Amino acid sequence: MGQSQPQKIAPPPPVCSSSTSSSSMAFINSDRVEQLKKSSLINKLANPKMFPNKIFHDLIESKSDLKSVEKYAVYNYENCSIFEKELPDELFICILGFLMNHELFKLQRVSKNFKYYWTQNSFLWRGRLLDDYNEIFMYFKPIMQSPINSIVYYHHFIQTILSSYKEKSDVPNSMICKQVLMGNDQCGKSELAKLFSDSTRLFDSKYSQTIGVEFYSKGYEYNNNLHCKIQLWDTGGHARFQSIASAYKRGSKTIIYCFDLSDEESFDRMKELIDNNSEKPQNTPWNDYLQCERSSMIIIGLKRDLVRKVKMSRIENLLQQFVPIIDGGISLKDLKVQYFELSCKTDARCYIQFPLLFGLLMSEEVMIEDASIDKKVMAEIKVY
Amino acid sequence: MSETKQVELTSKDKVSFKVDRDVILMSGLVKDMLEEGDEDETPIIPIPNVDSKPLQKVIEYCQYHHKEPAQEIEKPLKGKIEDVICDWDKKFLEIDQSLLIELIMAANYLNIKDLLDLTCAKVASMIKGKSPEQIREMFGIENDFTPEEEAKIREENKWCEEA
Repeated sequence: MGQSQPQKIAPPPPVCSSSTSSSSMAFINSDRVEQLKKSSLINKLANPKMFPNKIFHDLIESKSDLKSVEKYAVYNYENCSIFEKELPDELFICILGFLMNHELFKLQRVSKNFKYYWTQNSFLWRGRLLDDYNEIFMYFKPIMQSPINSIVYYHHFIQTILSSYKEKSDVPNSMICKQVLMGNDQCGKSELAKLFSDSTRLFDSKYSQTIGVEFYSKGYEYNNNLHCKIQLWDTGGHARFQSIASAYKRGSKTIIYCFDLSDEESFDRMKELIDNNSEKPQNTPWNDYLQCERSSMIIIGLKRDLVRKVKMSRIENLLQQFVPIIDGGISLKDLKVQYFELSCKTDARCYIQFPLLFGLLMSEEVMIEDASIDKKVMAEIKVY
Repeated sequence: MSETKQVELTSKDKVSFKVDRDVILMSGLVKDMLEEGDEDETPIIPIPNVDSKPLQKVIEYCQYHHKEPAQEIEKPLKGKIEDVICDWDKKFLEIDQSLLIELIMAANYLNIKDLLDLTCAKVASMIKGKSPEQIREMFGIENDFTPEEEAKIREENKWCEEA
């Protein structure tokens, strides 16, 4: 048959074929956008249901729930190794304790005993994952079916976000995520912004007032070859800059409101700031409003290394008003408000930038939609 | 020469081992027992749970490590165990599976943490880097999943396969 290469019939050229192909809007089709959305990070994370910290905490701490599965109910003594047969359970768990998380999960494919018994052992996970989950304070957390799955998944969730966005200095025609830092003066916004933009910078407690607005930006690559950029506008917190600051909110994907956990007044001022600067209808919860506005909000309690003055209950109260959550939780995709507590002084660098990355995550769909009408950006995006 | 105090250990199969007291103090169990008892010339301590073969190995381990404490093994282990232990330990671990199991139990019973870590990490290291198929072969177990079940687990655990 095929000695001769059959000539494929070329598809008809786009209607406006006289101009260069890149200027043809026909290339920016909705299929591409759908494809991008499908491979989004939120979908990779399986768009989990998010719940307030208290519910997550209660689930994890409810020791009765976290007890290991009953061995007799699931274990098959006919199909086990000599190690499992001879050693008491706690010693076999001790062996498994030397394996890394992904190696443990891989074991689930070995046999039913590994899947339903060994890797479900709470002692195996407790130490290694519970420590981690306290390192970063994020208020709305994903919950999976069982306590163990929730801990393991939460760990995976944080790690995936941290590792998916790879810093890249040169990201031409990238999707843009504009983020604006707001909050009263001296609550620590500028230090956060500087630490975010300069990875070699050391924490500096010296205060210097931000005059007007300062600008930082950082490029990322994610999902193999998608480029995006966080443009961070650090607004002066002093009252006289508030009017300038609010002007910068226009077009922002994420507004980051900061306050100082060691200063109650700072929290009150932030609340005022949120109320004053809004065109939000009174009875609409913030989460719903932001969803309509294709925007998102991150609240950060800073200076968590100092003695805490702002009670958690006050913050929870605010968050409850902002995000009404029914029993089934709220899906990650619909969540438009998130709260973090940080210390620029004592937290690891990756955790300091985590809230901003979370802002990227919350803006992902909107960024893709915006990019779809920007042909330059779309030209950069290769769909595979 | 000053006489070093000795202790006599008797294994499950009634074999006696004379060991320097300083050496066997590495065992938390023996240490506790010696503290309770009076200072006999050569106290005899029965170790009814451990056979002579693993006991011999345990004593070897203590004789080497009581002066040369082992480096703590990271948990979880990032690479293979051979990368983090000394040559003596590597040689020491050249044993078959059944003796390895007996050693783990002996280390646990005699409460010698470093030896327990070493032997457990050895088994973990044998699992590392192997595919589920290879692990089944090593453990002598069957694949008891249906192809559908296996595919489902593979899908669920996609994230860890990539790591």
